[in-house]
Amino acid sequence: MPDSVRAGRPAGLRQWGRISAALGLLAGAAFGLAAGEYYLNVAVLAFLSLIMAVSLRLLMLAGEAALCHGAFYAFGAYTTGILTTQHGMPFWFTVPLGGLVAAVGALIIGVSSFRTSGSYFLLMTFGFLIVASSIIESWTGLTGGFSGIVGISSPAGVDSLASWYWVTFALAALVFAVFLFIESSRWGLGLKALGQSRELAQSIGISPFPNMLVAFAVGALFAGVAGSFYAGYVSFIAPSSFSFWLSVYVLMYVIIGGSRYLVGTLVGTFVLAVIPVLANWSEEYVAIFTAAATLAILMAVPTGIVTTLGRRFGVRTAAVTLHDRVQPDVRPRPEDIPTGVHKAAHKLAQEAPARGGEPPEGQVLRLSGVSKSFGGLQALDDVSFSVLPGETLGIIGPNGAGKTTLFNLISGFDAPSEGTIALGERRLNGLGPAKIVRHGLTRTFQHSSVFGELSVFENLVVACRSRRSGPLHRLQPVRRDGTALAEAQSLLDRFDMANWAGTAADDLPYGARKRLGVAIGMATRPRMLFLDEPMAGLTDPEVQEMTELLRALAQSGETTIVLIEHRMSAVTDLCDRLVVLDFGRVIADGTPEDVTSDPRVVEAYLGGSLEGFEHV
Amino acid sequence: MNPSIASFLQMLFNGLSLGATLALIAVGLTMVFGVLHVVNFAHGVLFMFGAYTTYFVVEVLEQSYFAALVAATVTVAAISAALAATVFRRFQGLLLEGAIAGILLALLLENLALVWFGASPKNVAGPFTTVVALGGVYLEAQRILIIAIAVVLVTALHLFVTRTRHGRALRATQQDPFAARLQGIAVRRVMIMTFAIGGALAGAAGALVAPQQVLLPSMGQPPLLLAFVIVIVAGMGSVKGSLIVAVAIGLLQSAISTYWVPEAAVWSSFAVALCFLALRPRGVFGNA
Amino acid sequence: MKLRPTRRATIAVAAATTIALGMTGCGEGASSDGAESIKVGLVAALSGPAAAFGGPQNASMAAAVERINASGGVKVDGKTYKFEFKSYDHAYDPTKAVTAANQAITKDGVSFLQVDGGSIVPAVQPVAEKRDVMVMALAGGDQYLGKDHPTTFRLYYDISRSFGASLSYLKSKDAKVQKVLGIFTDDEVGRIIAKQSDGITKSLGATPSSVFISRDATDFAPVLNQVLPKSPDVIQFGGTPPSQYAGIVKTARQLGYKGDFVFPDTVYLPAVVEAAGKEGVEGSVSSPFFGAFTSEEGKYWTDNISKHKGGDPSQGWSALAYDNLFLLKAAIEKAGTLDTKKVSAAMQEVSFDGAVGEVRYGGKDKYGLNQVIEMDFPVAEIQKDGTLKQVTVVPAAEANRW
Repeated sequence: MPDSVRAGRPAGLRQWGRISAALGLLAGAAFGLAAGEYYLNVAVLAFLSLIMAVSLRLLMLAGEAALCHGAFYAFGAYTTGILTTQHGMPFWFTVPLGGLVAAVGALIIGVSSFRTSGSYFLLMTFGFLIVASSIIESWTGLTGGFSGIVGISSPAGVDSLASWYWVTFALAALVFAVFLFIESSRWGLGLKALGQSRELAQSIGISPFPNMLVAFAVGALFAGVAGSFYAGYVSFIAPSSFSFWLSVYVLMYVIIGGSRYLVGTLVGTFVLAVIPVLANWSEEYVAIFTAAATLAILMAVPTGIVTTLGRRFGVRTAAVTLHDRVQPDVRPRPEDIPTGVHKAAHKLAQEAPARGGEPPEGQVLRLSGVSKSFGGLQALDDVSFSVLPGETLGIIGPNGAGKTTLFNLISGFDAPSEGTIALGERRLNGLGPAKIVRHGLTRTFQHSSVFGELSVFENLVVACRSRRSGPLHRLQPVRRDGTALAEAQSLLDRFDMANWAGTAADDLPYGARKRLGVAIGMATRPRMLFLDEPMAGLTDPEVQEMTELLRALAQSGETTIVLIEHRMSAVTDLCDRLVVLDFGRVIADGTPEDVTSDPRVVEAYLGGSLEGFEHV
Repeated sequence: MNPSIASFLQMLFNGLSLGATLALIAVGLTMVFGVLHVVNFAHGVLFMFGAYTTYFVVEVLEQSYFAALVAATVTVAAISAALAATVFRRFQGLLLEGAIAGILLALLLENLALVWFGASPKNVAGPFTTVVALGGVYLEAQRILIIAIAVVLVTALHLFVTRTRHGRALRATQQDPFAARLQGIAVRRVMIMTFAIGGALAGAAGALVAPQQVLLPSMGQPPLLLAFVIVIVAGMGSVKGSLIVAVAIGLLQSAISTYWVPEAAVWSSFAVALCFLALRPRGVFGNA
Repeated sequence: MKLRPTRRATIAVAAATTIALGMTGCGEGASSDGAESIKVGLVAALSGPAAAFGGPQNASMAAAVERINASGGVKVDGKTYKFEFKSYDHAYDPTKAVTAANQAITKDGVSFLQVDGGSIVPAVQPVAEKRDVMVMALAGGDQYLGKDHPTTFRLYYDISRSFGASLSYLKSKDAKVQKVLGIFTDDEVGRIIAKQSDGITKSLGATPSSVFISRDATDFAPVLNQVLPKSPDVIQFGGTPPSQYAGIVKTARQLGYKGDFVFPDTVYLPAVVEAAGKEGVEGSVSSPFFGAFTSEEGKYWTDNISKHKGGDPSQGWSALAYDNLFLLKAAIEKAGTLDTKKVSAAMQEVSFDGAVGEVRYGGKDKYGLNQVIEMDFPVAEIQKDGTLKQVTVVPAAEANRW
């Protein structure tokens, strides 16, 4: 496997990519020259469907699906219909306006739903579709009601079917290229990370709200543009052109195609939108066929709507090409790569200075009087302690003592009911997770510790925080982001994961996945790294390795480590200081020796024996 | 009686009977959501199957309407349980994927119904044709029956959930599936049972309204839309809340139809639901 | 990253290329025997919920084509042509209709196209007009008519005039009929029919009132509870679909309505008899009545329509599609050419003694061209035994005066 990773294939793959793109364009051109008008018409409508599917897919990368894509299509179509027929505006002016109207619709629905009720987003878009179509049906003066708008004129010079074919072909190719570009950018990778694990994405600084809002609006913009072209092409629009099922069908094109490759959407659109037309199937059977096929795919890969179909194969090749972009002088030669897991800790200590990041600043994290209650349940009660730079702090306590709640408050996933959390002079209360990580506090999760469907290398690249932000930088293709690639490569080596660069994180052995979780945290260059049970479920030798690895990290001086852990021997071994929580209160705070001999602590644990919790 | 008072009372009566139908549909929808966290877009199809089962029993087998009511309840409960065991089981907790699976099922089953039953409207003869006229207010016997049966079914459901072992298991699962499993509750069985109950109620609703309207494969869509509104406004998963809101929405629909324009009824309700989703996603009675 | 198409993607693209190139092979498969045949097509809902409308039209056109061809075809300038008929499904979706029309016109070379559905015709019309294909619409509405569309015809009668025919019969039977309640679909077509019907009601000396119901309404009691207290003598359903008027009839009877119903768009009898019982609809009237054709063509149509796919003798309205092809034949022969513009001009002047009686295109004073079918309106009354019996015929000339 490592050999294939480093073999010369990536270049071959890239060439294949170019060749197939060229072939696709050539096929499109040949088709346009040779096909009969009927087939041109089928192609024009298929191109518009493709634009719809590709633009819907963007948000689905981030783990949400919309049921109102047909409404955005209708918005574009009605904008063009109304402006050209009632105000005599030229077609080409109305196209961007159509996209704009759709995007504004998406912003309205997105702002209200992503901020408050993200989990009901699908229902929200469904409701929006119902209300939007009712408005279109009822606002007769503007939209013509059920009778619709007739006589929408074609753009100048585009009157024959052949010319429509070339226009929509060019448009579809352009939109396809735009979305390929977006998906290959840092932003696209960030969206995929959001789709994999929203909370982990937040903890590496990707906030869902603005990213998903923009993805939704961009998708709507292109759906609106497609709608404008639809209106110009058919020259008649009515509510019956944009039924609820239109939105469902577009969703099915994307699902069938899988989400890993944009090309899958092309295939999905072709299978579901073109074949039934050419085969002249009757409506009921088209519906039965498409619904059954999509349902079968959904059942075969229940979590796979927004992920991939050909996952393993796909992830590896994608990561290979990305990995290949790492500057040769940064990449270690193969013989330098240590193979034993135990060497990771060594390497960490050795290579630490090479990372050359800013040394951790000497700011203290202070929690004063922090309380949190859920309804009647007091999860945390007047918790106060500090985390000093450079120390390694363990937070222990029985299940339900409030440890994870404490992490949630510190990392901004939840707000304290009372009390303050401050880093140096700066209050952190009220900041969101993505903001807090910018202040140098990064946390990991016990369960969603990695981005499962992304390759190990991508997991690290997406977490490598770029020092520049701004729209242009976000749209930079990942493969051109040399700094992030180099950093990810260095982490890969330091955490001894180079052999797995191209493997999907979900396919890693459990111990390696835990290690990757810590590496992702480190990729954000934290001042303080909060680890939630990094050793849970590990075997004893693996616990030993993780302990060494964390010790090496702590000794390298790059970050301060705070960890929740039940493995008492590892915790006492590793930590300079322990804070013990029980029923939401701090019952002890001191060196491991002091704490483990504190009668209250012993009392808090079962049967008075700390060893009782060793393997829980 | 003063005509405007009569019209008001008529509006109340119609609203109550609509509310009773909607309650039967919405309760199943919200229970399924509570246990599985799946928004069942195929619930309207179950309602349609209830009506067509009634048609089959009354018009083809020529049995009594009440036999058909029982048959529809049982048949649709079985269909719903089968869907749960084969399809929805896979989507526990997956809000997005579960909703999409429901939509696909609805598309699939509705078109199968179109192939099987045909597109031409069907009629079912009701047991009563009596209309009680009280001073300008018309009380149709069928509507009184709808209200009565809905009350009986909801009471039975309440007793089942509060007084039986299965019912307690259901409530426990709804509150915390993980803890329920720890206590030895077979969560999967509870899930299928919930779907069966939801299906039974939707099937009964379909059978109850069948004599009042013509049957079409698409007849499940309008009541499903309103049931969504109810479940959203009440708070996803709140059974008590959805009962109250169902009656309220029934009255609101009736009032809008009576005093405003009929076609505004559905979308205005949806606009209300959108506001709830945006501003108070846990609804009036929800505690999620 | 992902933008690198993989081997799989390459295969997909290669496959797409092959298929694309393959399809170009089946490009313009124009048939070479075009010189001998005139191609007529039907774009209609042949599947989906509205399929009940497409099937009978398909059968009627096929029957007419068969009969015309058997009796010598179409003679143009000393040459004999045969009609060649093909139908296309639009499933009541405008986008699919555009595809279907393109298939008919550009692939199969159809130059005379019948189109089904009010929200479909405007989508097909531009495709047809671009290639000078004649459009014969079996659809409500009139926004697609007028001088800008000289090759478009509507072979669908005027519902409000049909209503007038029924109402004039009811008035002649019982002069006390005064209050007429119209129940219409709440859309543009419904409002136009309502407006025209109101005018006709007044000119017949009665008092109109209207109520509009949503297209997806299934519970009609709330609406009827409002309007029945005004005790109308007659309720008419201009253009309301059978699935809805059956429900309204049923509910209205349950709520104690005693008057008659008028079905001005030909009643779908089984639905209303089943909904309200025979006694519930006895005395109600329907027009135009297509039940028992007495004409020669009508008898032929009734006897033969079941042989064709989708044919149903009870769907007499579809005989209009049968008669229309004879009008087309006459127009082509009169024009002496296949040029659709000249045929369209001739179409405005021909008439035919068809299955439904004498038919011709009229409406010049309203649309500027004779584009809308004109026919006599037979009126039928529902009998005690639940059957329809023709009671009178209102001539087209009289109906046109309202």
